[in-house]
Amino acid sequence: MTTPFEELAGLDRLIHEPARLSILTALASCKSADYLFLRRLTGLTGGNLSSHLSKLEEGGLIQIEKRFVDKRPNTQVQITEKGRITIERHWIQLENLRKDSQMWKP
Amino acid sequence: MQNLKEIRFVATNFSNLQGLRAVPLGLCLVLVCFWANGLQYPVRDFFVPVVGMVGSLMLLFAIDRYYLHAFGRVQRTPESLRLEWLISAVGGILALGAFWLDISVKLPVSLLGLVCAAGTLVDYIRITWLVKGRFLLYYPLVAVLMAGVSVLPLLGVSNWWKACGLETQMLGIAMAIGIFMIITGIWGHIFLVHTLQSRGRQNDHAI
Repeated sequence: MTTPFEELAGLDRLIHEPARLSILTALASCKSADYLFLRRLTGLTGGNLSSHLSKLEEGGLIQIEKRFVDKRPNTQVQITEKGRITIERHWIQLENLRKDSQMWKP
Repeated sequence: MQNLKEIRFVATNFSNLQGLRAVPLGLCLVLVCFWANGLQYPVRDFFVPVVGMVGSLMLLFAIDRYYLHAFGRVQRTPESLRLEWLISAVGGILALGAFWLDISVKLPVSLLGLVCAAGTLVDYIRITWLVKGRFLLYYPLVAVLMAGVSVLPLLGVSNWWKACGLETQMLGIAMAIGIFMIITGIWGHIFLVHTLQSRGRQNDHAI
C-alpha cells in the first residue's frame, strides 16, 4: 500500500506541470486544436507554448502538424493514443490523491 | 481541478460557445416576424425576408472569420458531432410537427415554444454532461422562460401577443425564439471571452 506522499512523488512530471496538464486536458476533449486556440485557452505566450508542446511531442503524447489554411500557416495539434491513456491515468491518480488526502490525519 | 473542468468545458464545447453565430439568425427571425406581421395578401413583395436572409448569411460568414482569427479552431470528436446531429435531427422533426399542429389545431399552448424549451434543456444537458460544473446556467433559465411564454394562454393570459403588437401567437412565439437566440448568443460570447481573458491573466507570468 502506497502513502499519499509516495503517490504524489510517483506522478508523471512531464504532464503534471500545470501548463502541460492544461494543454493535454484540452486536447483530450477534442479531436485536434490549433496553436492559436491553445494559446488563448492556456494564456501562455507563444514561446512558452512552443516549448511545452515540444516537450509533449518528444514524450510521444501529442502530434504536431504544420500546414497552410487559406494561404496562412496553421499548426494543428492532436493528442496521441499514448497521450490519451497517460492523461486519463493521471486524472485517476489526482482523483485518488484528492480522496486520500481527505482521509489523511496529521 | 476547477480550472481543468473549465478547460475541458471550453475545449469540448468551443463551437457552442461561439454565441455571436446565433445572433444573425435571431435577428433574421425577428425581422421576418415584423414583416409577416404587416403582411397583406396576396403577398408579392419578398424584399424584406430575402434581404434579411442574405444579410444574416453575410454576417454569419464575417462572425465565423472573426472567431477563426481571434480564437483559433478546434475539431470536435466524432462522438460529439454524431450526438449533436442526432439531437438536431430529432429536434427539427419535432419542431416541424409542433409547427404543423400549432397552425392546424387551436391549442391553449404553443407546442413549437414547448419543443424549443425542451430542446434548449436537452442541449444544456448534452453540453454539460461530461463536465460536472455549473456552466451556462442561462440555458435552463431560457428554457423555463420559453416554456412560460408558451403556456401563457393556458394560465389565463390570452392574446398576450396582441399586447406586443403581433397578430398571431405563432408570430409571438417566433419573435420570442429570435430574441432568446440573440440574448443567449451574446451571453455565450461574453462567457467565452471572459473565460479566455481570465485564463490569460492567470498565466501571464507562467514559464
